[in-house]
Amino acid sequence: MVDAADFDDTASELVDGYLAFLRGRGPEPDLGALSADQRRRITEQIAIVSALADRAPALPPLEQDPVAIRLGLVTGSSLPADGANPVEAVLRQLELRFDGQVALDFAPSWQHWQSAQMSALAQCSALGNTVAVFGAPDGLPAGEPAGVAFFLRYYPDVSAVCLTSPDAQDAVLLTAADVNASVDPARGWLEPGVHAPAAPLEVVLGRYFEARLPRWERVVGLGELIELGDVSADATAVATGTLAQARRARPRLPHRRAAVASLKSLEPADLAGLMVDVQAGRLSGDALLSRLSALSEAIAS
Amino acid sequence: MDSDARELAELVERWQTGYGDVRGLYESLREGMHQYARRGIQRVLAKPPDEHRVSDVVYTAFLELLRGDPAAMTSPVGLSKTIAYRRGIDEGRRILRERQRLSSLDALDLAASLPDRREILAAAEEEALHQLVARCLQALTTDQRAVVQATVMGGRTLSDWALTVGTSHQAVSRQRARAMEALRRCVRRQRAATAQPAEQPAGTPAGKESPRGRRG
Repeated sequence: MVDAADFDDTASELVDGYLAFLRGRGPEPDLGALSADQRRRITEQIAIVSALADRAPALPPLEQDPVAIRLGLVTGSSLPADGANPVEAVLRQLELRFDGQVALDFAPSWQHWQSAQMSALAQCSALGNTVAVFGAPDGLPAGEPAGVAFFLRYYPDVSAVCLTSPDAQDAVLLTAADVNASVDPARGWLEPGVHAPAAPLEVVLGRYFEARLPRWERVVGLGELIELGDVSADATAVATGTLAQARRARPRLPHRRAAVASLKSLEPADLAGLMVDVQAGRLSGDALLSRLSALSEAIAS
Repeated sequence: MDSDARELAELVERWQTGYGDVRGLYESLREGMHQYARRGIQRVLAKPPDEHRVSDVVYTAFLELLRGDPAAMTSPVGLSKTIAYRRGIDEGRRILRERQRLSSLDALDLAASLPDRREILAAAEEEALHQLVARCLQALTTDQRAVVQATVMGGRTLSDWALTVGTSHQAVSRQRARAMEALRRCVRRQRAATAQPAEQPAGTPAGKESPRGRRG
């Protein structure tokens, strides 16, 4: 039986336990050690916890809610007005969502490719990932539609094919791996295309590019780092240590061995100079990329 | 029934009878749907989900709700949350599958399985409870509200919050326990106040935790 004096601590522990349970991090807490009255109180508190948990972060106003915008519930949203092409509207929305990183081409080089099941619509590209979007006027086929595997072999620059219904509400995305038979440890040989569940076009393409585009996160404490003053000595020490560690590696793959060998010609002072220039704000953006590129080329040659 | 709950019930009823507006419906349901979508994803991944994924789940779930027959739905509020939860679990499983390159994890297919009526009603009841709790939160002290918002509504731990506010873990833990107890009492008072005029206009026997107004 829990002592009344410790009830606050017990209650807080049980609330923590229940939160962990809701978030998939533990079992449901056991209330067996409590008296009937305490159990009733904790049960009511747990109901409140369940009603409140995971309400954060707060949602933006409806006008800025990404879901409302996608649903076309907000005035000025880019979703189709009556008569507009829903697929094109969704692709435009995708372009906005990724801040223009996803480029659209409505007249791609493969646009002449037509079949009974697929009609060419557009191409979406971002950082070496290219998705060919085809319309499926007769609805989505159950498995792999004939021709996708052939298309991907014929156009090796295309990373995936997306088939969409005319209203953009059902779409599947197939990579080269999806359009070939595969072996599942549990179920043996699987037919092509069986693991491509249908979802709205924007969700399918959004997931694909979300998983492939780099996400630049804010560096915690960057402000303090910038205000440190002269860091030449520290930068040299860090560069020397890191290079020494990398040079000690003994990889077995030839291309990795070549990479380690090329590090021998890299001077710690060059790396340290680069760090100091970044820290002092003299080097950023494209200039930083050019300097890194030049450094890489110099040691590789 | 309080005014917020009545307003939501009217909106849902209008939609069920074919006169509702989808924008208003989404506005009323979106918070609960986001909550359950997050919960579904977290249940599988055991870590806070990416908000883009949550938006995808809510978008898909809301479209799924709209495709259903409104008149045949027991509780659109509960159903919307249930669908969001299941789709959240699907999304979590999909993320795992992508991460582990597994093909043997199939998505749950809500369309193929009948929604569990008890689950839907429980979700609807929880949404109604949330409306009461949201009002009760305003009655807490600023510190109590902050600890509840950070550790219950958000994903911060008590230790993390104790560091943030510069106090001990035990102090924060007890502060939250008192806040939760205050919320519990407030919800009981509100429920009793709502039930009193409808059920027993006068002379209701008051228990230990009866609202003050009724004692007077």
